[in-house]
Amino acid sequence: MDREIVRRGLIEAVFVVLAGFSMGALVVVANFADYGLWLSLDVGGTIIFVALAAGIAIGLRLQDAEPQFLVLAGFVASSIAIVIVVLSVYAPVFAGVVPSLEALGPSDSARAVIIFASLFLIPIHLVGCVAGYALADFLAPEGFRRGRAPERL
Amino acid sequence: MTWFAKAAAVFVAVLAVVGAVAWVNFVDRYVAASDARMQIPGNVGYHDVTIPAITSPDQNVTVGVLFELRNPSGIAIDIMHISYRLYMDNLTDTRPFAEKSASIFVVPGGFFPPGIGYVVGPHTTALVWGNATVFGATQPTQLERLNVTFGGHYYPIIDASLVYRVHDTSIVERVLGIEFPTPQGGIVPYGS
Repeated sequence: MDREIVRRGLIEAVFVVLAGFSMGALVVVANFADYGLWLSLDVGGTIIFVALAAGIAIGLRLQDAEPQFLVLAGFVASSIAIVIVVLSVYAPVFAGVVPSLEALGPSDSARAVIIFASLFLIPIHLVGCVAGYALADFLAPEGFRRGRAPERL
Repeated sequence: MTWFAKAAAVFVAVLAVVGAVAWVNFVDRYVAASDARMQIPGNVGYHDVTIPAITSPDQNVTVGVLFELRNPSGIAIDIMHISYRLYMDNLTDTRPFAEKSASIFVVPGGFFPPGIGYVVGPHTTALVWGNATVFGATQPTQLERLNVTFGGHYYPIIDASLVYRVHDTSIVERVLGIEFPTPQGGIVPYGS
């Protein structure tokens, strides 16, 4: 395999991981506003904006890739985000300060809602990826566009 | 690489940096607050109880209860209030507490700090007085119930509850049923 392709693939993979991490981190921060964090975000707005914006950025980055890689990248990034959300919700358990989250009170349903809401990242992020991919095609100089030029009638 | 691919890379990097800083801040506070919520109930108790000797039927008697709150967690907490109900046990009444509580209840008392509350820093211990006053002139029944001694000693029963907030958050917790373990032999009246 061409070394340049591998290098490019690894660079894009890093950006996919960064996009996934930032989506997960910001969604979980928005969900736990009670903790008086330095960043106060609206949950719904964060899910929509961050997933779309990160998706568009990934779509713009992957302008040369085949569409199936774009979809794969979208799934990987949103899966990383969901894993970050789940790990963050259970952070006190992993840190060993509580035996289980039930010890903190009867808010099982609230935690389930946070994890469930994070699932919305998948479709929104994929829409963003596709939009970014299309935008890249629109913005690209003439010679760099994918597909064939429109035929003149 | 096109200009918009570079711009997208910068955007993702900035988003990741902002997300990382916010996430570290969140995890730190979330874990510390969870630790506090787990540990505070086992770290609140009584340091001292002072009840003066009653010498006249219209005396104003201030009962002092010194609460001790250890905060072993890494985040400060604000004591919003500590409230309690003061009973004076009548050792000749052998009924269970639930049955005789109404007849031995004296007065409510507590510690009610103004403003956001009394801040107890991380890894520190606070001692706060929660007072209850019986006005003999207007509360003769309460004074009579308070003035029950056996062998010259009081046997108070105190049932307190603590309401606190994890500092700089909107996490408010309540610790119920902080019971005062009356020492063997009771309490010697203060000033007697």
